[in-house]
Amino acid sequence: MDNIISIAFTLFLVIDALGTLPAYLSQVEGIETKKCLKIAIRESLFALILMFAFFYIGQLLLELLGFSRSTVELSGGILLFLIAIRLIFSIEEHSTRWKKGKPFIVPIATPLLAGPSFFAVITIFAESDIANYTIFSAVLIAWFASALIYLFGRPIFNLIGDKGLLACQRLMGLLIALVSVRMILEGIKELVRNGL
Amino acid sequence: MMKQLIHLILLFWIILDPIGNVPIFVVFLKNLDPKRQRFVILREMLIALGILILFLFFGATFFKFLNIDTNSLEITGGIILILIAIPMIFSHPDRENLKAAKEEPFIVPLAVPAIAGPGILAAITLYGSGVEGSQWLVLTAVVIAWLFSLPILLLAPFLKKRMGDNGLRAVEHLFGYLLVLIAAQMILHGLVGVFG
Repeated sequence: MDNIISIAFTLFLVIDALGTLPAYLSQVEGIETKKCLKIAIRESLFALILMFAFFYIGQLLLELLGFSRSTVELSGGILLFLIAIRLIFSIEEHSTRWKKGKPFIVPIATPLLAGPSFFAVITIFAESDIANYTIFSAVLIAWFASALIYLFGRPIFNLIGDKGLLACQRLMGLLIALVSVRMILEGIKELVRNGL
Repeated sequence: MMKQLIHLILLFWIILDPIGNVPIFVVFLKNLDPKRQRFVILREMLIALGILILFLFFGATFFKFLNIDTNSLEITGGIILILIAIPMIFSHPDRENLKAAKEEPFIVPLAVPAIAGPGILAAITLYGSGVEGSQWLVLTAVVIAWLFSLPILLLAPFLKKRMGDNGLRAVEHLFGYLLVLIAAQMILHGLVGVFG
C-alpha cells in the first residue's frame, strides 16, 4: 500500500497537471464551460489509455532494444531533471508552443497529460520488480488526481491566479528535481553493482 | 541473430527519425510540384543511403587512422544524440523556423544532415566497426531501416497535412525520449569500456 502511494505520488508529480494547466486552459480558451468539461473528460480518458499503452510499449521497446535497467533509470532521471529545471526557472513555454484549434488527443491527452516524462518514468517502473497491479493502481490514482485538476481547471486558476500557479510550478519543479536525482543515483548504483 | 537484426533496425530507424524530418522536408520542398517533390525525396534518400553505406564500410578505418577508438566514438555519438534529442523533447522553436530556399535542395540540407546526420553516422560507424555482429548484418539493418523511413518521407506533405503541426510535435516528443535512451546506452557502454 505504501508502495502504491509513493509510486502514485511520483507519477502525479511527473504528469505535472498544475504545471501544464495554463497550456490546457489556453487550448480551451473561448469554449463554453459545459463543452470544456466534455473535452477534459474525453482527453483525460484518452490519456489514461495512452498511459497504459506506454507501459506495454515501453516494456516491448526495452526488450527489443536491450536497454539495461541502469540506462533506463539514468535517461529517465536526466530527462526529468531537465524538465524540473525548466519548471523551477519558468522557461517552460507550454501555452504558446501548441497551435490552437480543435484539441483532439494532441496536445491535451499527449503530451500534456501523458508525455515523454510519463513515458520515461513508467518504463522505469515497468523494468523494476514491482508487481504490475501495484503500478496500475498507482497510475489510476495519479491519473485521477491529474484529471480532476484539469476538470476544475478554470476554478483552480481563478482561485490561485497566475502568481499562485507559478509558485506551485516552482515547488513541483523542486520535487521533480529531487525525484530525478534519486533516479540518476539509483541508475549509477545499479551500473556499478551489476554492470551494463 | 534475428533478434539482433530487429534490435539494429529499430535502433537505426529511431536515429534516422523520419517522422521528425517530415516538417523539414515539407518546408524545403513546398515550392516544387508534387511529382518533382517525390523525385527529389527519392534522390536525396538514395544519396543519404550511399553516404550511410560509405561510413559503414570506411568509417571505422577512417577513425582508426585518426586514432579514435570505439569507446570515444561511442561516448561522442551518445553526447551528440542527447543534444539532438533535447530540442526534440522541448521543441526548440529554431528548428521549426527554417527558411526555405527558393531553389531545389540538392544533398544539403536534406540528404545531409537531415537524414545522414552526425548521430546516425556515429552509430553506423560504431556498429560497422564490428563491435557487435558482422558488417553484413549491420548493412541489412541499415537498408531495412532506410526502407521503413522512405514511405514516411515520400508521404511527408500528406502526413503534415493529416497530423498537423501539433500531432507531429507530439510524436517527436516521444521519439526524443527513445533517442535519449539510445544515447544513454551508448555513453554508458563507452564509459564501461574505458573504466570497466
